[in-house]
Amino acid sequence: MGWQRKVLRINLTNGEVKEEPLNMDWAFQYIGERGLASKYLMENMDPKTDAMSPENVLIFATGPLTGTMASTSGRYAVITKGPLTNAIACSNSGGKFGAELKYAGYDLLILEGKAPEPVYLHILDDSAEILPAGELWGKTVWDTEAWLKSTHQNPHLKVASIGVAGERGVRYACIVNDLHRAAGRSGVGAVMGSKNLKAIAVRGTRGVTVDDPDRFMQVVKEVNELLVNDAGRKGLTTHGTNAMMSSMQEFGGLPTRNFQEVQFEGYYKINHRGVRAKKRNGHVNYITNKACFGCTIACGRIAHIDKEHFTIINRKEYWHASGGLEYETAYAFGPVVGVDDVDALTFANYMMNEHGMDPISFGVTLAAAMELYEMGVITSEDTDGVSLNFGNAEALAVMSEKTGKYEDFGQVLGLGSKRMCEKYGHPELFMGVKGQEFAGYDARALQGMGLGYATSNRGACHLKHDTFEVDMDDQTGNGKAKPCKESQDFVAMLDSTGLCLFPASAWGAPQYQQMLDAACEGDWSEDRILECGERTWTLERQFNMAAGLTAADDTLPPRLLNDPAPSGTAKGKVCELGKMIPEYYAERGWSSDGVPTPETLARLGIT
Amino acid sequence: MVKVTGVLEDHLPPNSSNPRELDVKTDATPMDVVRHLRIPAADRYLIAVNGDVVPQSEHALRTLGENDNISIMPPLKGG
Repeated sequence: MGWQRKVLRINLTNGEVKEEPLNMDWAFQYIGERGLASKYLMENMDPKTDAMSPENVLIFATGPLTGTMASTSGRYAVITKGPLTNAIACSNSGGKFGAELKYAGYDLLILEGKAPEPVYLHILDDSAEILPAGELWGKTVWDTEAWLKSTHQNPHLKVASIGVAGERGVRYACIVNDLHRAAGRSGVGAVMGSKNLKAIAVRGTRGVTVDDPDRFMQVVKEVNELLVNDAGRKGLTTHGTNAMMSSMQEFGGLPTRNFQEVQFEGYYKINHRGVRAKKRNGHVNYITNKACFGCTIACGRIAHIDKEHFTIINRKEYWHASGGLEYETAYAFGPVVGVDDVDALTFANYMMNEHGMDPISFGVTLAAAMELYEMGVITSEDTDGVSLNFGNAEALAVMSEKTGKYEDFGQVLGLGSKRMCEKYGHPELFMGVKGQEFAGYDARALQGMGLGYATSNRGACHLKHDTFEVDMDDQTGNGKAKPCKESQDFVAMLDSTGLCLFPASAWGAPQYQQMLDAACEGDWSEDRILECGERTWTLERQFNMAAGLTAADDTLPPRLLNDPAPSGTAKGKVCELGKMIPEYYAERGWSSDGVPTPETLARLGIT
Repeated sequence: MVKVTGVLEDHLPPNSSNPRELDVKTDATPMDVVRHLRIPAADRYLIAVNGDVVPQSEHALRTLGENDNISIMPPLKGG
């Protein structure tokens, strides 16, 4: 009820595929998806394991609400140890793959070991087989999906796959499903590639059940009314997340040129208006919006590149429509690298989806490379003659493709910003936390964001907490610890349900509680679900500490701690992380060294 | 001078400039400007005056001066 109560465990080394019952004790403690998979990860591997070794475990996880009639019920997560961070990786995706996996009858797929040769997994309801992927190895994500649907004569297959970037170990390679949705962050695609696993193709026809269907449908109807009338939802439907860019520009929190600045003069060419602007030849970048499975928001964007643009002139294979710019992609290919050419940004986005890479990590890594180039540390000899100056749209386009194909300087960019900056003797130019690059918010303007970045278990992340409201009201570090902690627990709960984060402008804990209580057996109160979230967060912390991370990793780069924002509403400010961290540890019930105390662990039932 | 950003631009009349000058009553507050622009009052906003953020609690209290520059931004959310 809600859950399918079934796990598929795949040993890629010896080819064994077996079903096992879902551990319901764990499900009642961690709900599903992120929380439950984190528990399974902790119990099935040594956190000290090398992320790229066969001993790493890769888990695809749905939630009890995935595939149900609740709005935005298409989510699934990929949980593993991340090669970008050497910390726990929790990468969330939408599209249709998650619901299909649930309809095939599985809550979790657990992938262990390493196949001797490239393989893919083919699942048709309760039939699961490991098949040779020799013909697929080296193909793009897009060609892989087409090949699988054609080979199996099944257009209903939903595919999650990696490109060459994942095969070759680009540290931020991602897993792409449904052509342009992705489990994007932390390098989960590289883990998949390290196991010689090219793709998972699934078709499920079984549907899902819920514990109290009448009550569930009534609750879904009521919460959907809240969502349809919500101003935040309306904005997402009309403009997608890229409507944020002009606000961040005005606010002065838009990271520009590797975080040297906080406002970007070309923002209006690439924001929600820029993508709708008509060029002289009549071309308009934006075409329409797009929804994931079961979603009534439809924040996704579909776009196309001008055929006369330098990136695709004479390249008919890119003349089609595909994923358009969201805020993070617009930031990562725009301000942070200084480029304001909307078609160049869109081409880079195509490269991310075609070859399977995290746009945030790629963009911020390129930004660091540009800064190193302008310092004279990286030269044209290193880059095969490509000038890596900030603002060079050609550099953005060329390097996004080279990195996706793991060619030339793309192999260096594929290290990720932290390893690349260390390689060139300038670790201070890495803009991120725990090895993972920052999203499009500057922590000098949004102090609580800085705390969230520093303490996120998966490295710098803007989605695992929500302090926007308090950050908007107060640009000091005062009073940020409690809202950061509480929102982290809330999001950890939400990430465990199978629903998307974006209804959270309309839905709070009461709405999620009502849906879970109607769908899942047992009594689910608000306190209980939020405690599940706190338990998940703390367990992730335990994993990271066992992997060797310490409080010293809960920090920000010197640029954000020491160099004042040069403009905007936070002009003159640095991030007050030093004030916020001790308060945060105290809120969490952790020691001053950032270690969960025995009392906190006992309260949460974590042994 | 008043500027609105993001999805709030959809509330502006077609073809209106942004930013633009606005004539409001003496002692107007930022919320008076919001209402003048016919932006739904129920929504929450980030408001800055002359580059300084105005706390939510002061949106209906802070008095604006002549030649003040006001920015009205929708709630910032991740994505």
